[in-house]
Amino acid sequence: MARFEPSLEYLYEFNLMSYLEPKADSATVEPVVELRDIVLRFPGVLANDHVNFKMYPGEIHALLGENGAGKSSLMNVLIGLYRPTSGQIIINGEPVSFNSPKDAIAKGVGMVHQHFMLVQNQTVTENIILGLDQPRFFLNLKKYDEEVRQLAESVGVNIDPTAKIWQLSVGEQQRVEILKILYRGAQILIMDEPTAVLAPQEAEELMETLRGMAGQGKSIAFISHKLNEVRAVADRLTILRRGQATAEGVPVEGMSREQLATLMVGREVIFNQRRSDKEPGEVILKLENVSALNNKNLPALHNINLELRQGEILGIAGVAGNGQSELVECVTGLRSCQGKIILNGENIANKSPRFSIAQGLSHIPEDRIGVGSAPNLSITKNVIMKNYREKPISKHWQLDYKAAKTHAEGLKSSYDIIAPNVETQARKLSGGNLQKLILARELSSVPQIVVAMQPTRGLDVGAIEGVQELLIGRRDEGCAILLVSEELDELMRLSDRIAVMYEGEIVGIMEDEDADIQTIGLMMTGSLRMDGKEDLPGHNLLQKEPETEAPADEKAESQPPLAMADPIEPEEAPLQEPLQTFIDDAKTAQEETLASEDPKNFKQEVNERIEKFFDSIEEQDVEEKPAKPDLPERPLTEAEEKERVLRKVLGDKYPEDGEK
Amino acid sequence: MMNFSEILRSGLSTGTILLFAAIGEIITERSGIQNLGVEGMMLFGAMAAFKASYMTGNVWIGLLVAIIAGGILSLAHALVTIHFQADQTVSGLSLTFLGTGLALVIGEGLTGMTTATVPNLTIPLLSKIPFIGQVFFSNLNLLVYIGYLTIPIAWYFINKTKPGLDMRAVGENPAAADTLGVNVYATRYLYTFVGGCMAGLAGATISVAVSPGWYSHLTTSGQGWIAVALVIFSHWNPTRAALGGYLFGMLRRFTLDLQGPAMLLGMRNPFFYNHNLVFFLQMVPYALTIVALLWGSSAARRKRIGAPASLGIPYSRGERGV
Repeated sequence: MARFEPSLEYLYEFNLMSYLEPKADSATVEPVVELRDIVLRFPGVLANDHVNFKMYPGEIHALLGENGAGKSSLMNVLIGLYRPTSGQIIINGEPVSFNSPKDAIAKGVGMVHQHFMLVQNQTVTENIILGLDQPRFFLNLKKYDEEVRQLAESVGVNIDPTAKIWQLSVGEQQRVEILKILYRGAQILIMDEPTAVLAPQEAEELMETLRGMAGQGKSIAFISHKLNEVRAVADRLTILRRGQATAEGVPVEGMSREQLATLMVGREVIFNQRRSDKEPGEVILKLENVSALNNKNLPALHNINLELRQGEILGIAGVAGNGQSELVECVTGLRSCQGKIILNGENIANKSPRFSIAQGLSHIPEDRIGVGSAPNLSITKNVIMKNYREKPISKHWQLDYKAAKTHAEGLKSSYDIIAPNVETQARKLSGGNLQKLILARELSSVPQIVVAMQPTRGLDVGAIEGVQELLIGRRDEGCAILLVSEELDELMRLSDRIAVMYEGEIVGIMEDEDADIQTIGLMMTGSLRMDGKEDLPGHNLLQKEPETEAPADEKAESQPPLAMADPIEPEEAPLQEPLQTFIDDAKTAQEETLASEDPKNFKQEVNERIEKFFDSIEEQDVEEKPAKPDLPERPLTEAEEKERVLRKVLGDKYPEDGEK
Repeated sequence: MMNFSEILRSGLSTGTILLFAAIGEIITERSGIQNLGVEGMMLFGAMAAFKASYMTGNVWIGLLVAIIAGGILSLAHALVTIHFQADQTVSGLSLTFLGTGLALVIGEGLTGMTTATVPNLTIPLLSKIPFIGQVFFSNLNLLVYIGYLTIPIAWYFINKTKPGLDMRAVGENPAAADTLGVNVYATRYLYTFVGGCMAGLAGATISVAVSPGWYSHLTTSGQGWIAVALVIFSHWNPTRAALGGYLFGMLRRFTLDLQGPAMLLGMRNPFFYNHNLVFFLQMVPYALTIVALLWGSSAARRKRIGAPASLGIPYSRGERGV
């Protein structure tokens, strides 16, 4: 492979001229870590191809790249897990060679792995002192608890040293990992995709901690594929693509999201994919009064009615755990249910998955490793799992492995699955490639309907784009797609219609044109219902709106089957009052319109009221809290206003990655 | 007539056998290795102790040889499961056959012989305590007292020392221990060896201490399996394992005593008139063993009752987990 040599035009275009200039501080300050010309070769894969990497004291250096670009491999070289094929590691000016992570930590280099290396039923302190020489025989835990507590305080982390690991949240466990490394005196911390497992709030806390530690002079390498967080936290960045560095130690400031994405993926990334306008065809899937129980034998779905047409994407929005997975399992035959699920005129409810597969149903499951693939089997065996009974792979009562291999190789190249060969075990693939494998299996059978659950979760921008492109492509070919996602942004872009689920019910279905993120947000949190809109506009609004006022338990009494496992309480209590007035307004509007018998007018009316309602909330905001000093200077743009309201409505669930 | 303190004392003696074997197995399993070959190691140890003390006339040499014999046998299991990463259940079962076979072959011709045995002792001051002194501290085998001491030492070692911490970490999450510089392979070899030594000692406890003699495979008569079951019953806790061991010991004696009197609780004693019924009674510990093994085989339950998380899973460095 040729070494990446940026042309002048390239550097200019992407505002990377600083690439050519030596960094101002690098003249005076020595780098704490320098990786020189690292080459790392695995059988069949060149993980790192002459990569240079420098870190200075007190900086956060992001290592950006797609899954499988070689970021983690490079850092594993730095901590002594892998030995580079060639190249030099220089720490504090002296060349070193590590045989194990223990050698690295002795030089002050430690890594927080993406999968935590913690012993679940031991305490925080026990985990931290594990493997050290210091208590030699007798554990004096009290003394070490105190040391750990002091260390935690010094970096501004709050943790109970006597707690068992399993009692801690994921964010707290991560802090234990950080403390573990700091306790060993590390000056250089490597964080491997630290926010992948964190809730947005926890991620924010982590960023604070990292900034604090950088302020104390520690150097932090931050592996990530999320553009936003890199731009938020890092000082400089190195971007890897297929093992090569496309940017080495470039200041983050001034880099746009698009530029980063282009450097990372190697081509321009379309953040706003849009499907073609196309009239949907016949109804192909019909759900009639489908009800089902969840794994705890509590009602999870309640009288679901849905229609899915050829050539349309029906998005299902909702906060996780409101019955989406149960719905998908019912449709794909993995869960028994009541009611009818009619696919192509056949009732597939309570039939085996094999039956619905024969009817042309494809399933892209949420759990790629547990459900979507057999991790210990090869790529070949994974891709033939659906069509192994068909010719040419099935030959009488045997499997024709030659045909299977040809089939797999064809899919590997057409779906661009990056792996040494088709005999590679599925579990050795990165997340994006594993998803491509599943898509290859599910979409190559030319399905009539695809049920996709969270198809882009945890993938990087390039992979997300690829998955979305494939789905849109199938839709344009006339395939019906049921898309369940928690990313509102993704749903809004891809779906022709969006249905919102709340506590096991569809609380509303709207056409793409009518859907706006506020309304969906309200419906997701159970503050608004719009179901039955097609029958008689507003009818159900009148019937069901008052319910949202009732506390969860009262509601359960009035409608026993509705009592759900974990009712999600509306988080924004202060909304209650304006909501009441809004509902009253809506009622009056409804009565007026019902009298005039003009549904069109009513719709307009409701939309106006919704707008008014949001205006009133904002007014209240301004009254309650004095506005930030910089706010009144400049009126908010429409998009900003939207975002602000949505953040308030959705709270934690606001998709941080979403770009308007 | 049945005498409660006699049953108790007998339970302490025969329970010591199970105590050594079970605590040894707990130590092995806490480091993540399951060794089902306890029965084989015990029989081998029993034979080794008997033969060595028979040949040298010195029971202490017999004990030492038994401990080493059990340990060496366990190293075969360690080699197969740690080094070659074979299935631990299969290897453990084969170890039972290996140990039993070796013991029967090498022990050929020892049946009916007598040899020096470990002496009984009365502890000077403690035996003066009313009842307790009589039951627990007078005229019991030296190994029973060693068993008493083993319980707190094992507990303290596992829970309160640095090597114990390393051992637990290796059994729970070997990858975590490895990244922090604990030598997973060495740790597992060591504690598999320790477990084997204790199984050998348990065998010696039978043949040269509490019921001296060599009765070929009847010497241990399946007590190794009971020890394995005890480990599960005890939730990998040495104190509970010891109590369970004493309880099983008492049960053994009780079934013998039950056959003695013609009248029992004012009724005809069925066990006195029909000795076949006794076989059913004697089955009880073994039936419970089967129950324990079945009960403990559910993965979910294992997790809940505190089985070491990586028990039975070979560790190989650098393998990406799923």
